[in-house]
Amino acid sequence: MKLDNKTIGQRYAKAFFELSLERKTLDTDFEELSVLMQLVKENTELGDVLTDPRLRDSEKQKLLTTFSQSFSQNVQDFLNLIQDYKRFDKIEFIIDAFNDYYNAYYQKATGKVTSVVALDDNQKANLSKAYAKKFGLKSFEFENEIDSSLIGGVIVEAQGQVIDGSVQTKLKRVKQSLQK
Amino acid sequence: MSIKAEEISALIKKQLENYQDKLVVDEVGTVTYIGDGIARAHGLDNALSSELLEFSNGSYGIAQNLEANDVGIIILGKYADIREGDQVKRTGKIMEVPVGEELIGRVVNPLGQAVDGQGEIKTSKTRPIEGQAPGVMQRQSVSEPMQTGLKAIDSLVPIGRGQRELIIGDRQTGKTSVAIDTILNQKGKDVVCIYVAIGQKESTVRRQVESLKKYGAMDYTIVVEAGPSEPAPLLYIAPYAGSAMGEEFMYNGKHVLIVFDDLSKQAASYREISLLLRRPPGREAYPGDVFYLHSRLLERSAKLSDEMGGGSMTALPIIQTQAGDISAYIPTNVISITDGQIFLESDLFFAGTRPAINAGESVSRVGGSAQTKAMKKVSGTLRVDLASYRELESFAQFGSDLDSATQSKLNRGRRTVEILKQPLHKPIPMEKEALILYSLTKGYLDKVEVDQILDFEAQLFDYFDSNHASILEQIEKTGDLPENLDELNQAISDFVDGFTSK
Repeated sequence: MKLDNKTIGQRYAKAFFELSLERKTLDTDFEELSVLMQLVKENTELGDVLTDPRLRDSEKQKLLTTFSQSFSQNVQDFLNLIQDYKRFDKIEFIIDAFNDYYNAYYQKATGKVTSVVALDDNQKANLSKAYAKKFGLKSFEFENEIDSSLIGGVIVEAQGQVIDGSVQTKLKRVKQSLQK
Repeated sequence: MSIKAEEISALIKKQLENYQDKLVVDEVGTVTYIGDGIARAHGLDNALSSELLEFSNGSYGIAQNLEANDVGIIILGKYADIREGDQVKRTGKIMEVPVGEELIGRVVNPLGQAVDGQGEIKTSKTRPIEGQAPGVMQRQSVSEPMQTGLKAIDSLVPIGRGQRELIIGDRQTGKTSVAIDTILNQKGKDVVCIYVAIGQKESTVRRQVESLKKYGAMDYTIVVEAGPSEPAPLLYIAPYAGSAMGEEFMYNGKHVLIVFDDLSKQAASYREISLLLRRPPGREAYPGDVFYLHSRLLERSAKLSDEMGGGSMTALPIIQTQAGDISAYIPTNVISITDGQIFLESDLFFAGTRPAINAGESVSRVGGSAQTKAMKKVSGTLRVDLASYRELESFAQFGSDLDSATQSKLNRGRRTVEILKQPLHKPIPMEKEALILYSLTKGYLDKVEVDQILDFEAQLFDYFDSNHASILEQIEKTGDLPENLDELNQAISDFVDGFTSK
C-alpha cells in the first residue's frame, strides 16, 4: 500500500532529528529548516520541479545546490538524500514532522490564537504561560490572528485541540439552550 | 392554549441562571478527503471506534477506521458543503437514538427523527445503537408462541417469542406481506412491533404504513425508514437503531416483534461503505466482517430470563435472493445465524399458493417448543402429508390406475395445499387455525370439493362463531383441544353434512 504523506514525513524527520541530536546541532538545524520551510511556502512549485521526471537529474541537482549552499553541511546532506529518494515534493510534511519532534523534545507547543484585537506582549506572555501550565509544557508559542466576528474572548488552537472562549460561541450556546 | 409571557421569561431566567460558563476543550481534526459519504481526517488522535464526530457544517459522522495517521468517517447526512480542511470535532459520545413509548405510532428515520410530518418526537430516554447482546445467564429458552396468524407458518414453521426466523425468497414472492400480516396479527396481544424498512421505495413504505393504519396496527408499531435516497451510512445503521428502540421495551419486560426489511440491502450498503473506506473486499466484494454485521444484530433478539423481566424480542429478518439461489454469500450467512427460515418460492406464488411457503425447505429450529398444544396436535401429520403428496403428485401425472390408498393420499394432499392458502392481510386467530386444521387431519374435508374449500373454511368459522363459540373460547383459553372431543366432532360433522348437502 502507498505510504501516506504523514508517514513519509515522520520517517525522514525522525532519522534527521536523531542524527542532529547526536551531533548536537539541533537548534541550528531547526532554524535552517524553518528558513527552508519559508522558502518552500513562497515557491510552491519547488517540490514538484525537483521531482519532475521530465528534467534530468543533473539539472535538478544544480537547482538544489543553488539554494542549499547557504545551509550547513548537515542540512545539505539531508536535502541531497531526500532528492536521491525523489521525495522532495513531501518536504513540507518532513519539516512539519521534524518540528513536532523538536517541540516534543523541548516540551513546547506551537499554535494559533484568534482574538478580536491584537494581543499586547503582556497578554501574550500571560496566555502562553497559562497554556503551558495547563498542559504541562515548558513554553507555548503562537501566532496571533485577528477576527472581529468573535465579539470578544480568544480561541486557542494547538496540538489538535481547540479551546474556545469566544463570546460568539458562548452566545451560540445560550441560543441552543434556549431553543430546547 | 394561552401562553403567559412572564412564565416564559421566568423559564429563560432559570435556564440562564443554570447556564454554566465553562471553557470546553474540543479535540479536532482536519478533513483531508471527502466524497461519496466518506471523509478522512487527520488528527483526532484520541478518537474512539464508532465515536460520534461533528463536522463544522453541523452534520454528524461515525469514526469507522482508526488508522495510524487518519480516521475514516462515515457521514450521516449532508456532506455536499463539507470541504477539505474543515474541522471535525470529537463529541465523546457514541451514536444514540431516542427510545420509549413516544415513538409508537410514528415513522422515524434511523436517527430517530420524525419523518411522518406529525411534529417532533419528545422522548426522555436514549440508547446507544450498538449494544452488547444479552449473555447466557440473562436468557431463557423460547417458550411462548408468536402467532403470525398465517395457517401455513403457525402449523409448519411455528415461531416463538424471542426467536429469529428468516424470511427468504426472490423478489415479488410476498416476503413483506408475511411480515406485515404478522404485525397485523399482534393486535391486542400487547406486543410492540418495529418495522425497519431499509432501502425500500418510499412509495412502498407509504403503502405499508397505510395498510398498518387501516387495520389499526400503527397503535403499537414503530416504523424506522431509511429510503434508497438516503446515504449508505443511514441504511447501514437502520437495523441497529431499530434494535435499540426494541431493546428498551424488551428490557422493561415487554414483548417486541422486529422486522428487518431487508438485510440484503443493508449488506449492500455496508459493502459500499467498506469499499469506500478501502477495506479489503472478500467474497462477492463484501468485507471480511459481513458475517459479524448480521450476527451481532440478530444476537440482540432474545427471550430474557425471568430475573431480567422475561421480555422478548422476536426478529423477522428478510433476505432477498436472486433466482432462488440460497447458497449466495449473504443468504447462507443469515440462514446459519437465525433459528430457522421461511422459504418463499416464486413458482408457488404464481401457481396461486399464497403465502408461497415451500414447506420442505422451511424450518423452525426452536419454535416447536413454543407451539400451543392444540396446534401441535393438529399439525403433527401436516408436513408428512405434504411431502408424500408432492412425491405422488409427479407420478399421478402419468398414470391413471391408482389404488385407493394413493388416491386418498392425493386427495388429502390437494386439500392440505388448499387449506394453507390465505388471502392478504387476513390473519386468523389460533383457535380457528386449530379448528380448520383439525377438520382437515380428521378427514372431514375429504368430502368437500377442492375448489370449495376456502368457502367451506369461511362458513365453518361463521358457523362456530354463532353456534359453538364456547368451544373456540376454550381452545383459546387453554391453548389445547378439549379433552372430550365428542362435542367438537359432532359440531364439525353437523356442519359438513349441511355444507355438502347444499
